[in-house]
Amino acid sequence: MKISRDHERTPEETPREPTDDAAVIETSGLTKAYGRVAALKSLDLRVEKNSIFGFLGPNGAGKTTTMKILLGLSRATSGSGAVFGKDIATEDFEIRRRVGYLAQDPRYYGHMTARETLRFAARFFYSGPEKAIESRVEESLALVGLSDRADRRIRGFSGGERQRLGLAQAQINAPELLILDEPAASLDPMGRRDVLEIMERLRDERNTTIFYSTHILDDVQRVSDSVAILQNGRLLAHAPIHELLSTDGSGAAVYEIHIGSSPEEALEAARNRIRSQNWISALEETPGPGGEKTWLVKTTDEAAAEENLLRLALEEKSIKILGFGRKRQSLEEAFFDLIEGGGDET
Amino acid sequence: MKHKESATEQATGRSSEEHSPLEPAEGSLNGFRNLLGKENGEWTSGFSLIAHGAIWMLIVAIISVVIAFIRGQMEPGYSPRDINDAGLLMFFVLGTVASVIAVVAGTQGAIIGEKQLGTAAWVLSKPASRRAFVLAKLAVHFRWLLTVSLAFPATAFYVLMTAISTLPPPPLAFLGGFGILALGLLFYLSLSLFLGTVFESRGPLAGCVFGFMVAGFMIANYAPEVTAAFPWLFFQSGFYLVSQQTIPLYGLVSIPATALWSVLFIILAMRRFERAEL
Repeated sequence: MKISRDHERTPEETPREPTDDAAVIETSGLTKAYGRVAALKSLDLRVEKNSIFGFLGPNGAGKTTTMKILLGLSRATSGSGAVFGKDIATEDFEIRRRVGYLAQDPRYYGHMTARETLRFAARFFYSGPEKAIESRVEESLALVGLSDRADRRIRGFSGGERQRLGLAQAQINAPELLILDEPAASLDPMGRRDVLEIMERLRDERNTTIFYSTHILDDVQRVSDSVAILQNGRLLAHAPIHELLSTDGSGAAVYEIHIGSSPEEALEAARNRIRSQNWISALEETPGPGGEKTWLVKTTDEAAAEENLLRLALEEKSIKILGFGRKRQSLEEAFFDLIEGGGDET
Repeated sequence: MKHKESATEQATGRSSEEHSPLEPAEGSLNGFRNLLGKENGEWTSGFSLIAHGAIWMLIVAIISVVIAFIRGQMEPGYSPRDINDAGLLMFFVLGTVASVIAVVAGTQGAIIGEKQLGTAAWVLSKPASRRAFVLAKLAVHFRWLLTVSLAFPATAFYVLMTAISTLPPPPLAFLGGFGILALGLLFYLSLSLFLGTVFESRGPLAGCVFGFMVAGFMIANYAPEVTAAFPWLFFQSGFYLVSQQTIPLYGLVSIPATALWSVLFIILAMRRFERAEL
């Protein structure tokens, strides 16, 4: 896992490496400044083909800015990027042919119906035949459950209906890459579940790569293959989700040892023995009920910990070990660890 | 969301592609026709077309004709040609002012509104040409503004004036005068679209377009030679063309100059919008 605490590279030192086949999105030193305000600071990102990539961060972190730069709607101040190996600065038109995009607060033309909106979107990609376009429109309406409201003007649509329409228009061109900016916002729990299911189906059945931002961490944990966490325009973490959840905010693996009521001398000896290992970076003890204790042991060498950590603890015969295992944190814990740990920069 | 059972085909869109392959849209102005349809739809779907039509018919045609009628009643010595001249002067003055007001009312939000709402970002996240986005607005707004603020009122005015004075104004010259007003409308429209790529809110745009017209009327009194470069005295050129079959020298210069300014504003609008952050 890559944990980025600070990017020291200057914008001038950001040549783009060639993109290989497996990366759909690749950025190098991508930077965006609005006057003196840096919205994005030297972002290095890589999104693998056929994956669901969760892009997380508080409001104002730079997520939407990144998406707009990838689509050519905004220009990077420095750095570079490629989508499908095509340069985002010079080949954005070609990129948009193969991408679907759902904006954070999608707005469409109020005088159009849902059907007309999808037809309008489809005609940017296809010149005909009309029957095939209409067929695609019908399928898209059915996909998001808007068939019964297809001929209603969208001026009167609720936020959730607009969001569904947004998903339908984003996939109207059967895109290889879907960029979704908070796709589950303004949806009720069932709508959210349906959106996540559609995202998984698109990945599994059409091999679509999905790059999406959200604040709903449970959703990310449920469907994402990889995540990146951004704060104040700075990349804090970028890793497959299983790696992110099995390490703490600094990238160290964490093991948990549950100990029953045991003599203090034995515990002290075990603590000292564990702490003396050069692959142990920290040991924190949390008291539990009935004299139980939990040790959280951070290690820089997972293999050594897997092999030796329990053994070291058991060397004290009078210690009662109730449980041992690698600590799996929730995404919420990982997110707050990273955000609060990296929140000193403004 | 319904119909999840037929997930594969619906989600992948395979069924339609297998049975009837879609042809990719191509071209350097990709999306132009699509955007034309959208802009036309915006004009025709609401009340704006009817509202514009009624207002400009009343102001440009009816008021001009009524004034000519009253002048004819008040001055028994007026010939049919004098009555025509009284009506024509009002028509060209009101037509000039109407076209500027109509441009501001109809297009101040054409680009700025779409930038603020996010619809421009949505459209341009598709493979749509930014030049097509601007040109479609120019073409459709020109079409409808010309129709409602000048063409319909001009037709009504011509018919009513002929009925009142019993002498039809020379049709070709009247058509020429109409063409001059139409060029003036194009100038203010292209200026408005260009300013839409410069400003982020509507107020400065409206102020600049109105201010340009008002300033022109004032400048004409103090530095008349400057008016040759802009459409400020187009109402005089149109009036003289119809009533005297001649255009003053400043008018002969201002017509090509205005055409050039219009082209320049359109090019500048496209260039600025090409680089706009959405």
